[in-house]
Amino acid sequence: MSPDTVVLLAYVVTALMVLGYGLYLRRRWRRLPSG
Amino acid sequence: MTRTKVLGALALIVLAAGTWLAWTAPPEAVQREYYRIINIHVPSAWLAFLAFGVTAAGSIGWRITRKRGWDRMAASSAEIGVMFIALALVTGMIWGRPVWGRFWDWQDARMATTALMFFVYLGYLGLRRATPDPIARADRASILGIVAVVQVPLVYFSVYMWRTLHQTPTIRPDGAQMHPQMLTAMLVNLAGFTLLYLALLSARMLLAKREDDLETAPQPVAGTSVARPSLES
Repeated sequence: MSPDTVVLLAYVVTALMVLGYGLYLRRRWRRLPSG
Repeated sequence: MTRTKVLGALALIVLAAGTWLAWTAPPEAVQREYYRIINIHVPSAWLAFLAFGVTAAGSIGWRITRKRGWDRMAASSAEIGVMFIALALVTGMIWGRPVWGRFWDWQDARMATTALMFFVYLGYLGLRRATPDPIARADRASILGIVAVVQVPLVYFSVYMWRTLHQTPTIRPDGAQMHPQMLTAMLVNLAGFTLLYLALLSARMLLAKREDDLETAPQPVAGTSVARPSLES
């Protein structure tokens, strides 16, 4: 794996983790009963 | 929600600038391109330290005032801190493989203490989930939230106390041993990660408030004439 690919991998993993956490929060919010 | 969106938008802008600066800074003399990962790795670790510090502050606030807002802040910050410390661990492993020749080394003091911190705060989140009563949950979690924060200085100073594989900090109170362009990229990324933390904390605390309101709202348990006693002190 080239050095640039390794760095890119780290950035992609970071973006996916943050996005995943954001989506998890959104799902929890939407599952709450309204009222 | 507006505050969360503004903070999120600001975080995106600053992180985009930070990423551009990180990728256009000169390569490091020994590590070449691989060092660019520190622009994620180091801010993630610092923000985890900050998040766990906020958890400890929220825990102390709860024990003194018994106001639920402090407990919500502690819980929300711990969850985000766990995500940041996981990020620091994962990016550290991705960087470690080509630079150190290994993903992980349990004999390294920084790695071992950071992994311990990750599992202790996972335990903190587990403890919260395992305690249904909101007052007991806040009481128990606050003790762990205050005790567990001793790991922050332990992790930070582990590289001085045990000279193993992980290097000592490049940015120290007495100055930074970095090329100015690299330092600028790192500081912009740190600002972006801080904004990201604040945006996530804002969103998580809104969610916690909503969950709290639903949890403590009087629920009819035997028809409409009898309500569950409130657990608020």
